[in-house]
Amino acid sequence: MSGRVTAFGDRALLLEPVRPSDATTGWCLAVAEAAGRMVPGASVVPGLASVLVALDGPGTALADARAALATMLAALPDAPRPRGEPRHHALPARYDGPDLPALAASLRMPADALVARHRAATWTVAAIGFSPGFGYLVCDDPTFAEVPRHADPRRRVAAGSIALAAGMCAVYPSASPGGWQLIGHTDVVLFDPAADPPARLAVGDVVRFVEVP
Amino acid sequence: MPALLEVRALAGLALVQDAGRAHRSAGVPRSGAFDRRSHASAAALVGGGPDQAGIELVGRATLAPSVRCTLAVTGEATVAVGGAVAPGWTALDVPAGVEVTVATPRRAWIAVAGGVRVAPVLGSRSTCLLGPLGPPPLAAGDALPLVADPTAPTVGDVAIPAAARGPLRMVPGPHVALPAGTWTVVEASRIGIRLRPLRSPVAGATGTLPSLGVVPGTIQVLPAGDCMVLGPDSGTMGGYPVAGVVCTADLDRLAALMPGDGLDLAPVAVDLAPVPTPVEVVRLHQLPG
Repeated sequence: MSGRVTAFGDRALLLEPVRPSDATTGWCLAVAEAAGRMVPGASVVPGLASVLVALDGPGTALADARAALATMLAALPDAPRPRGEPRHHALPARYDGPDLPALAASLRMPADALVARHRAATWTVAAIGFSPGFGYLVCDDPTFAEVPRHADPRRRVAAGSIALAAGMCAVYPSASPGGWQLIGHTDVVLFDPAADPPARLAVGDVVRFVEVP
Repeated sequence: MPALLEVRALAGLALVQDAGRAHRSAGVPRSGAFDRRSHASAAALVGGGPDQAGIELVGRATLAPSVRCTLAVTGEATVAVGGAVAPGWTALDVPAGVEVTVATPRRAWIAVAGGVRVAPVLGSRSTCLLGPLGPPPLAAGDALPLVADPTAPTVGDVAIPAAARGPLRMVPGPHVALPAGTWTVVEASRIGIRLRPLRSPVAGATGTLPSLGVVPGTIQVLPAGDCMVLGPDSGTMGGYPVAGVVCTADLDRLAALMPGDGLDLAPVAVDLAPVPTPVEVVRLHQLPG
């Protein structure tokens, strides 16, 4: 499997598979892991279909990192998988989100059927970003692929809100504007600056939602 | 009595900033001074390094130290100490209780020897407006802790950078190309600088992409045809097509942009990107008096 390395400014590199259809969560997580080993000290940020390697500090020359990452991508097996053993999280969930009834109706299913599918799904943290500790969670259930974003985002989404959009799920770690469909909430703190690490979720982690009364 | 820097009056936005955070993998913005050279220069003028925290100011602030201190202001600013005009880009000896007024039409950086000693969050004292993280924006009546003796025994001079002219240089790609031409700044914050094309909007760049990692300086093309150049408090991922990334050597210039400014962007090949020059202290001397 081949991938390409593109300059992203003069201090970062973007890694993508040559065929966009190869840009799976597994590819991104495996490439991010390998990139972290190849360029020590770099910040590696897996995206949803790419991996960004940022040389935040001085030291490594961009050309050297570029050559090392091209070598790594050339040696990548087909359908690479991350090596690390994922951590598992069970997040308590109350399915009381304001968008749940209308969203279920638009997907032509009862609300409790949508909730059951959300609970049954095994979610993988594909990326962390947007705001501190915000995880982009993906799963294999195609039900969620058709969930649209709101055309007009909310000005404020409460911390702990469980939200769906475009095949993904997220839990808002802090109050922020947001355009995803709110289906419930959790009391678990997803981001605590005083904790080590500050973000509860890390890329590659596996998340299941457990309904609580 | 701990040494304090009191905020006597404030019109605008004043934030504690240092060199920023390194928790990108947890989705934490870099933050830190918007113009890192001006911040590092102010810190160097009072005998410190870029890791010490100072104040990044938009607007006008009046400050007063509770004890004698060594203070420096960089950026584009007018400074008065005890009502008398004082120079920027040099160390100033400020007696206890004397008011220092700083006014800037753009952004200015204020350093005190030993730095502003608010509690660090995730290894930095910087305020991050996204999140938010770190100390809240300063307000009149605040008193910032300083070191016990915030005077510098010897101070340095730094080279005052020449006013930046010419287009802002950027490495193009990876998603869309920008048309040549002048842009107008329509919004300027630490989250990003929003640019509007003077003529036609960027063609063929509607919609979004699977979200990808981004860095400060990333030039995103928004659906309406504006560009957003990401600042130090921007999120670590974005879903808009990217037309380029501002060269590291020109990143500090983003901090001086204000609404109404015109701006040209010049693509340069990554191998020809200008190399940033470090802040150099050119002289050490003792303050008179």
